[in-house]
Amino acid sequence: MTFRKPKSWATNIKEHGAKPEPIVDPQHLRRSEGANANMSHTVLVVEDEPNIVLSLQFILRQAGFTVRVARDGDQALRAIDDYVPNLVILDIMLPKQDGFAVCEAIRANAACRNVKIIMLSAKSREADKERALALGADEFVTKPFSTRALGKMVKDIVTIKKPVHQAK
Amino acid sequence: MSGGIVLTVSFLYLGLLFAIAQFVDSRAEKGRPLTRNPYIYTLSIAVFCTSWTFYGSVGLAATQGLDFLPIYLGPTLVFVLWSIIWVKIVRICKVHRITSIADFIASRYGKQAKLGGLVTIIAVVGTTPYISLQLKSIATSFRILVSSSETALLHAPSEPIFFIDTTLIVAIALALFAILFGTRHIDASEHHEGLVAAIAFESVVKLVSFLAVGFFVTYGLFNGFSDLFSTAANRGLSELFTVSSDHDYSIWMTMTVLSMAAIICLPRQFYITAVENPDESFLRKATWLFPLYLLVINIFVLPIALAGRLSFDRASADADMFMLTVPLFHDQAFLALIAFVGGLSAATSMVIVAAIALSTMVCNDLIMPLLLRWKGLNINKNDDLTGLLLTIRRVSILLILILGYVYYLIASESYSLVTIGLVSFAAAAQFAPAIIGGIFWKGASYRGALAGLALGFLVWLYTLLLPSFAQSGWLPLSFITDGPYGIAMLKPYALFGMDGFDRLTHAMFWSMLLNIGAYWVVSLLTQQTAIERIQGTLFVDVFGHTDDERDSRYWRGSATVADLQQLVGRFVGVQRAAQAFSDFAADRDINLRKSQTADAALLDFAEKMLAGAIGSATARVMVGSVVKGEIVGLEEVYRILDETSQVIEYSHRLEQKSAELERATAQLRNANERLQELDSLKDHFLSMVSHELRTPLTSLRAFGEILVDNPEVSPEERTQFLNVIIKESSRLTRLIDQLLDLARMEAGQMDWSLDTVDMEATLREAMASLAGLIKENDVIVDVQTPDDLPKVRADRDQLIQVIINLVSNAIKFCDKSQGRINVSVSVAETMLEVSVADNGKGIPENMLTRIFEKFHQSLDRGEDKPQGSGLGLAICREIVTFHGGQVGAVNKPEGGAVFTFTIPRADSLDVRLSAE
Repeated sequence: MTFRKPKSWATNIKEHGAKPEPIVDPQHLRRSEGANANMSHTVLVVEDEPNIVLSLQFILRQAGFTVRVARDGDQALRAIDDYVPNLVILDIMLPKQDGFAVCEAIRANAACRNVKIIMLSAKSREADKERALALGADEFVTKPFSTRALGKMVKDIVTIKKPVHQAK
Repeated sequence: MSGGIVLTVSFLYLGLLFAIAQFVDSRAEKGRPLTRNPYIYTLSIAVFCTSWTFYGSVGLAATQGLDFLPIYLGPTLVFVLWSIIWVKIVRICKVHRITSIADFIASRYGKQAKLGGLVTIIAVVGTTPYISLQLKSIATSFRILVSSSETALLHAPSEPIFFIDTTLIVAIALALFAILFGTRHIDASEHHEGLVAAIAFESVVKLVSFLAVGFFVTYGLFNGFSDLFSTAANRGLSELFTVSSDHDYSIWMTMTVLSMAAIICLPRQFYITAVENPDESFLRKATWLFPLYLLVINIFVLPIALAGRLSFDRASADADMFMLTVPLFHDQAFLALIAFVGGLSAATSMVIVAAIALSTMVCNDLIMPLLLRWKGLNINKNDDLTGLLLTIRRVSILLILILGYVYYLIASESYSLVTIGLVSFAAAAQFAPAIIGGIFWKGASYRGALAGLALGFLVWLYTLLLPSFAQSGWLPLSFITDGPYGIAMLKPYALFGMDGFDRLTHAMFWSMLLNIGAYWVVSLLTQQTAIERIQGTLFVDVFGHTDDERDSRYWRGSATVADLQQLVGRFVGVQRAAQAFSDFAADRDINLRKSQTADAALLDFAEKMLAGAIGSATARVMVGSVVKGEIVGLEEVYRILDETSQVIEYSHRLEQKSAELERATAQLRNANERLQELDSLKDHFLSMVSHELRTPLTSLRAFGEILVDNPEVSPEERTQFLNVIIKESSRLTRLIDQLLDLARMEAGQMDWSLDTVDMEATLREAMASLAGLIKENDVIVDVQTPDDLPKVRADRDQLIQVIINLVSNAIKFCDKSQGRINVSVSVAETMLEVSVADNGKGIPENMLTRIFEKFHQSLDRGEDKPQGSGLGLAICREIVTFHGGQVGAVNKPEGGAVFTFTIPRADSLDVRLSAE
């Protein structure tokens, strides 16, 4: 079962200030099990390294996610305006706008209340991790990462019952 | 001539003197002093010329010829060549309100009463022969004038004319006159205008009288000088006025030095020149006017002496009285009377001034200290001591003259006037080391001065005074001939077997040897007390401490408004003080009169104002001392000022230190900022290295895991993934190589192999390496080089690296298939310039200067472009800079960027030099 909304949906909500409809039906999520069940979820990969994008695309598709890709911060925000994903895998070192700025923008967007964010960093600095979590990221992953662990993390975070970021 | 006439004239003359003194004093009290001019001051200094000059010089000239001269040579030398010593002494006397020579010496050496007492005793004993000389001359001249018989002209009658001795009468008369003159009022520090005027008048009288006799002799008895001298020469007297080689001139030296000391150290000279000086500037005129006076009064000495010798053809005639006997011999009784008055004036001026000076010393430096010490007398509780002081002075004047008379009785008969005078000179000269040393040598100490004076005085007593008693028969003559108790070594005229000199030179040698020796050695050996040190500094540096003589008065007096204002003004400036005081009065709506006694509020105000300038503690001391009416001596003020200036100096140094500290702090802060900057740069660098290493590693690990976990991937995908692994591995390798290169270059540990390199061949080789990349990106690279390109001196491999980095950088920023890159070389004077121009999107202006920094990556490169390490341009810069060239980047107006670097030509001077 696919859940698609009109292109202008998110914008309308913002304009009228109405309470956003839940993007994912929890009942539906509870019923969904297995790889195919993830096909209804979309992951936005924001990463400027082509080879890393390639590997992430491979893993996520194999896990049954729909994968969209943004090469820089601007592209990422445009993509979110266009379509609200279930999960954003967000690199920090990005052209134009960095990952922190994108994360902040997503969290400021009411339409993206339930969007999960996993941040990637090659810098492995504790300060970066703290900042990412403070800005509302759900997870922080240091490169190089294990594809197996990342795959499991993505599945867990997307199929969790209540929105993680609101608890933080 | 009848005694009545002579007596009448004498007392009329003395009465005239008294009238002059009274008149001048009354004028001075009305504020119109007549004595405040340099001529009267100079004439008063001429008190130096006594009856010794008036009668004695002629006597000496009649027997010894020119030997009378050195006595005037010394004073002339001091005044003409060394007047600074008088200026200094006068300034010190004014600043310290010195009243006598004893006061001066005692004050210099720490205000020691003992020293003042010793000086007083020496002065009194030393002056006694001098006074007896005056008494003798007056008495003798009186007797000659009164008897005026043929025999009297040759030998003055010694039998008394009155019932008692004439000389005693003269002594008592002079004592009374001196008492009347000198002790009318008490304040010794005030000037005695009347006295000075009378003394100046006497100097005129004795000069005029001497000149009158001189003119009479030279032009009355003879036809001028040449006639007189040729007549004398014909009579065999030429030895008296010619300088011959067989004469012993050692006495000249002694007498010149002695008279130099005397003009400064004789108590009356010191008193009249320094203490009675009304204005320092008068000294300037005195320096030539006084020597002139000496010259004029000596012109006729030799003519009168010769005339005497020619008139009385007997060597037994009393040559000392030629001034009288020559006119009398030629029946000029009136002229003789004038000469008598002149002699009287010469004698009285000396006696009066000496008696006043000595009585002041006896009172202030001898009797008063003793009385103050005698507690039973309770003298310090007595409010009004003026009566006591006056009595002491009057009695001491009388005693001094009687002492002179006693010496006259004992010794004068056997000596000439000059010999008696020289004994006094020798005594006064004992003060010279203590005075002159005291104003030029800070290290001179109280004990040194005491020892020197005591020893010098004892030697003087032994070698000059006691023998005079012996020769008069008051001591056995064997004292002189065999020494005391027959000890030949102690013969007073040949001490320790020294008998080559005349008596005077001998006495001066021993007394000065012991005086100066003890003064010097003891001063060096003893420690100065604080007050000695202070006084020493104040005396020696008197010109440094005082701008003019008036400074000294500021610190005295009671707490009147004027005193306070002056005190405050001294520290804060006169105008400011005046302004502040009038403001104070205006604030309280009161009228402050200068003489009014200051109230508590004004005292508080003054203290506060002073505290602002010199600190509260010192201000309290200063004001407190004025309030109590205590006399704050200059030395205390200077001590306080010294301490204050030390505190100021100290705080100034503290300020300097704190400024230094601030500077050091600023430097530290800068260094710290620089360190933090370096630290953050290092941090940034490490985090960038981490990023650049982790990025390819991420792909390696991800595709490794993917390939392991997904054995079923399609062969195409497998190949793609494996290619990624290979590419990322080589990227990693390249990054590590560049990092190591850069580290080595920055640390200066790179092994460069410099050689002469052909640029064209180098470019070709670089292009060959880039061929794959060029083909892959489908860009056009156009290389243009001029013919006959000079060689460069460079590390060939590194040069290739620079070109590869720049061109591949250019390719990275060009659009695929659209890129056009021009590589060109131009020749400059010492360099080759290589440019790499592209038609890409150019470099953001704000990045132009930063693109050569490490890890300054453009994150805005085109899609699917090979990721650089961020080190390529940094390495280019390192390489080019090492070679002595420069790198730079600009944007072309039509779009695209141009990277340029220079590399030195092998034939340039710099390269040749560095290659050698």
